[in-house]
Amino acid sequence: MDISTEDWAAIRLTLELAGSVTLLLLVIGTPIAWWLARTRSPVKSLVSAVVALPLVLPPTVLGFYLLVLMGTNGPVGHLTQKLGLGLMPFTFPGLVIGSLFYSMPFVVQPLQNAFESIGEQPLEAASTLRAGPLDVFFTIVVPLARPGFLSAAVLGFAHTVGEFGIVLMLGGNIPDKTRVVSVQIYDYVEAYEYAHAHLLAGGMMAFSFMVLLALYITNPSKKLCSR
Amino acid sequence: MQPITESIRARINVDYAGFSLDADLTLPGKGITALFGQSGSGKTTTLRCIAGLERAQRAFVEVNGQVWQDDSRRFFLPPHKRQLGYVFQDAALFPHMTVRRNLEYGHKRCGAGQDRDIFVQAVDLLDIGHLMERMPLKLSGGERQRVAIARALLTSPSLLLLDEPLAALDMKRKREILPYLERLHDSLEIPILYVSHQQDEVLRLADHIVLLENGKVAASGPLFDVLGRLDISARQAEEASSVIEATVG
Repeated sequence: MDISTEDWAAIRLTLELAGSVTLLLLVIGTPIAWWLARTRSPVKSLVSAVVALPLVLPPTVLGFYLLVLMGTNGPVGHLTQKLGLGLMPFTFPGLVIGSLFYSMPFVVQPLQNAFESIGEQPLEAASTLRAGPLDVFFTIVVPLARPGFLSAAVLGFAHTVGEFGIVLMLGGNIPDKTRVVSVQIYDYVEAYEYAHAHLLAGGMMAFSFMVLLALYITNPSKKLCSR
Repeated sequence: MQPITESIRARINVDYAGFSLDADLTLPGKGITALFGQSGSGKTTTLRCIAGLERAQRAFVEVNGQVWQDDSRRFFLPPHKRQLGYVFQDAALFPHMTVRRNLEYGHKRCGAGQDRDIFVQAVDLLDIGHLMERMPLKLSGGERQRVAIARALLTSPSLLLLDEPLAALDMKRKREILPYLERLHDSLEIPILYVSHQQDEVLRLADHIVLLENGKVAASGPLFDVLGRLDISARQAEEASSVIEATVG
């Protein structure tokens, strides 16, 4: 059996979604993780809990609230309409926003672990060698935390590929726009097209397994997402 | 006795739970000054406060007429803007850079980056020319410490701070590196602050000594004056030794 054009569209869309979410999360998650790794502020526990929330919440809950917030009568919805952006739900950008929240802990936590494991000393050494804070970050922290960035990118990407509930709540099921692979599989199963479902589901299995295998091979001693 | 040009002023007040430091130091602007005392006496904290790595609650630090910290004016110069070199107990080389890139790191950032002479001199002084392309993990403890000293020197510091640079080394490595520290003493114009709890090191290297006890300065002055005082020697008696000043010639 061949992969249909619809399936290819879903695969392409899934990869686009996961790619843009991963890039954005590396940009957003890095300062959050850095702050969490360094701060002694009492707010730290609060921020950690908020970031980790998607790990325990059903994605439908997250999707529901985002739908309400970004919908016609939600505050965010009002704002996006005023800015001329229209409404976010049932669009690709809306999916990206939902996925940012959903995959955030998978990017922040490996980064935070990596930053914490660097310790104080290389940073202090660099500062006695005339390097300012940003300089230290890019010349010492980023290279030393490279395995952490790799884990964060891979986990963020893979987790976004694997999401379902939030996509269904927030994205609907619009071909080429919001119909990603996991939703496509659901559709096939609903329609008793098990052979099609097998093809995509098997592909997802193989993909996820390969990704994790590659990660453990390149990074054998690290726990991926220890909390 | 020749007059001492006093060029380092450090008044440091630190109050943590279970530890307080109250030191008022005026130190010579030349030679090696040992900050000497048992662990917990506050010597490393003093050094870290002078470097700005630790922020004392109240402090005044002035080196060569340049104020680095003055909390009465809420002035605090961050470490990277203080013209100092710092050598950590376990070298703290950057593990992802070769020896050469470790050395260049500070050298490039201090404005003397183009000065190859200084670079060559420091490499010669510490005898590390053959290690340049190695990674820090492939070095012995003594070699690592020599690279760390050269790296600190290459920032053209006006003050060199050494935090127990020999403490992590065994006897053999220690003997191997002591001559380099003596060379440092003879060839450098800048003052060196040397934290140690080993009397033999202090006797061999220091010109001037600050004796710290429980966060307070118990004595301060030229080495022979301080260690010659009986009351002080008795307190440090766990490692009895005597000091004889003599000229062989």
